[in-house]
Formats: sequence, C-alpha cells, structure tokens
Amino acid sequence: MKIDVTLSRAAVEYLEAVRSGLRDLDEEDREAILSELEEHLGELGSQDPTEALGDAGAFVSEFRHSAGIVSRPGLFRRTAMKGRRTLHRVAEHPAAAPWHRHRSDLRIVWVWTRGWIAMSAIWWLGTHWPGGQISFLIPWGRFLGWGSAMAGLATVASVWVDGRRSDRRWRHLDIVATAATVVLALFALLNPVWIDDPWSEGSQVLQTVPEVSNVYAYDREGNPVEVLLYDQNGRPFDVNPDPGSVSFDGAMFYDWWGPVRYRVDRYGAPVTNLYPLERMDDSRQTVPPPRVGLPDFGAAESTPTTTDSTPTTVGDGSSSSTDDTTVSTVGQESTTTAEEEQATTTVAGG
Amino acid sequence: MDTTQVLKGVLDTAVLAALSDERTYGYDLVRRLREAGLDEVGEASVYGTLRRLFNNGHLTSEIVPSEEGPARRYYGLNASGRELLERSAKTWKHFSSVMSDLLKEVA
Repeated sequence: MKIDVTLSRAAVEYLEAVRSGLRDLDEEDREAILSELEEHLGELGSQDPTEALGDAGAFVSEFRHSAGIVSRPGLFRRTAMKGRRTLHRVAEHPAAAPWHRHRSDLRIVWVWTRGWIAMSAIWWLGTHWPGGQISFLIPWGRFLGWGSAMAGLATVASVWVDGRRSDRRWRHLDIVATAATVVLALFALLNPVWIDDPWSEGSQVLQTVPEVSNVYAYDREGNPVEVLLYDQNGRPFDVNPDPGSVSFDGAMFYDWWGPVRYRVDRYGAPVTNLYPLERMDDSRQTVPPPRVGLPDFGAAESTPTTTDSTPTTVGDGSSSSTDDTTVSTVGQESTTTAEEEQATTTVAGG
Repeated sequence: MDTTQVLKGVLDTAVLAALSDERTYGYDLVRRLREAGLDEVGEASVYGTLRRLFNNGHLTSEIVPSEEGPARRYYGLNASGRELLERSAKTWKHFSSVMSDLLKEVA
C-alpha cells in the first residue's frame, strides 16, 4: 500500500537519490523502503532532509549495511562468478578426475595456447581491417618472421599477465583479455582467410621461405626444359606475390623481384607461369641458372650435375602430372619417345 | 571509546526492546531510542534494522491510517521477535556483567 505524503522539493530530490541508490533491489522491496522513508520525510516537514538524515548516498550505504543488503554485483562480476561456478562443476565431474593430476601442466599449455590464439586473432583482424593484407591461422610461409615474433610476444604477454593473477587488477585484465581472445578466435575460426587470398584471384602464389623468384626444370637426363606450372585446381603457379603490381616500360616487365623478360603468347600477353623466367640483374644481364645436384638414377642412367642453358622457345607441349602440380613441358621435339614421356621432370626453385 | 561501534552491536536488541511495549513506526522509534539515551542512532540504521528483522520474521508490519497526517507503517514484535529479544537480553546482561566486573576498579 502506498503512503500518500506531500513533500517539499528537497525531500522529493532526496527520495529520488535514495531510489537511485537502491535501484538494484527488487522493485517491491525498494518501494516498500521508499514509502517508509517518504513517510519519515513527511514527518520532518520543512526541515532539510540532508541536515536531518545526512547525505542521501551515506543514508543508502548505512541502510544497506544495517539491513544486510549486499550490493548486487555488476554484469562483469556476475558473468565471472557464473563462469567460475560452471568451471568448478565441470572440474568436479567424475569424468574430469583423471585430469586433476595434470592440472598444473594443462595450465601451462593453456597459457601458451591462449597466447597463440590471441596472436591468431590479431592476425585475423589484420585481414578484416580496411587495407589489411595478412592472413589468419597461417602466419607462416611468407610471414614466418612476423608470425614467430607475434606468437612470441603474445605468449610472453600471456605468461606475464598470468604471473600477476594474485593482483586483482591484473586478474580482471587477464579475464577480460581471455574472454576477448576467445570471442575473437571464434569469429576468426568462422571466417578463415587463407594465405593466397589477398593476392591471387586466378593464380596460385608459389612461395616458400626463402622466397622463390624463379623455377628451373630438368628432365632426368639433366636437360633443362621449359615448363608451365599449374596447381591441382588448374590455376597457374606464379612466383610473383602481387601480379597486379607488374609494370611494363615498353621493353621490360618489372615485378617484385626486379626486371624480368616474360615470354608472351600469340596475343602479346605475358605468360607468367612459364619457367624459368628470364630475369635480369641490375646491369640488365640475364641471371644465370643455379648449380643444382640432380639425383643419381644408376649406372644405366646419366647423372648430370650442372646446367647453364636457358631455353627460350614457346610452342605446343606435352604434359605430365605430379601429385598436386601439373607440369607442362614446352618446346619438346615431336620425336619424343614413350620412355621420355614417362620420365620424371625435376623442378628447382631459385 | 567509539559508541557508534558499540551501538551497531546492540541496535537489534535496542530496537526489539523499544518495540516490546507497543508497536510503533520508524520516525517514532528513532525518537524513542534517542530519548532513551542513544543519541547517535541514525535513521538509516534504524530503518535498515527494522527491514532486516522484519525480513527475518521477527516483526509484524502494518500500515495504519493516521488522523494527524499520512498513513504510517507500524512495526511490532511477534512470537519470534519476543524470543529473540529474550535471548539477546540474556546475552547482553551476561556481557554487561562481565564488563562491569572487569571495569569495576577502573571507575
């Protein structure tokens, strides 16, 4: 039942301040308390409520203490408590008993894994941020250096924060960082971006560490051959990570590595997956092929170890297929025998 | 000695004792306690104590219309409240006796 009282403006403001201080209570409880205070303020008449009862905040605090009302924890604390209770229930489950012996070991694994997940999540953000051009979950290959550095930093930070969990502030930061990491990682896992996506719409980037700038192929007799390289999906293999950046000055193409004389097809378009590429050094001299060691196929087979010629003819060719890469040999004579067609083609990157 | 701290420890008993003779409302209860000598008792403490005792089932509560002003919420002791008052009184008397003995040579 509501108690009707006529109050001064100061009393109404005081009542509202107390109402605000008790907003976390059940509405029925709160209104019961406020109606009693309203009655009390009515008894005070024109007396200033702050003079009579003290500051509204202090009144709320004293009331809570006397009534045994504990402040309702905030969303963060409630979520943390709920999570802790859930973890505790899981840990107490009989099925989890065998793991208890390894709890400390698992914690170490978790701390390091969390660092890696955090790094991956940041990596993923890099791909989704405007202008981002890095990939998620495979920060290796081209990004081995950056990936290793970030993984190291993230894991060290993770261990460092973990060591300060006894401090309440660091514990909160730890919980927030872990929660953010898990959320980001979930988003990232649902939206993976693979290493070749940023650069290649129609071609596959052939890259390893150190970076590949050219490819040399030989038949099993050690004769250099020209090859057109394709991946398992039929996409051309290109050693240039950004084909769109290739420029042409009327006489020479320039890609990420430097000047290159691409062979062109009958329509004048450069064929970028025809190897070896004819690369030029700073003095515009053709870069010679590397010395390579070819496998020894036995006494009946020749075992050449070096080569120094670069084929330049483009024409119709026969093709053979390895596990995942299609190699088309170009410029072979029409007198190729069945034995030669079955021969293994050796491909060397340089 | 900080009487505020002592008061916190005995306010439950003081409120129960003040309600033992007759039921009353918050404003009047504060006045009674102060008239009895507990000058430093705060309104918020009294209302908070009333709320807790009521929620714990030791008090009755009823809103009674008043001829002089607004309706008032009256509190009174129920059986549980009287029992609690008796126990608290015994505890206080024993405590008071012990303290008196300890302090008799000080005064």
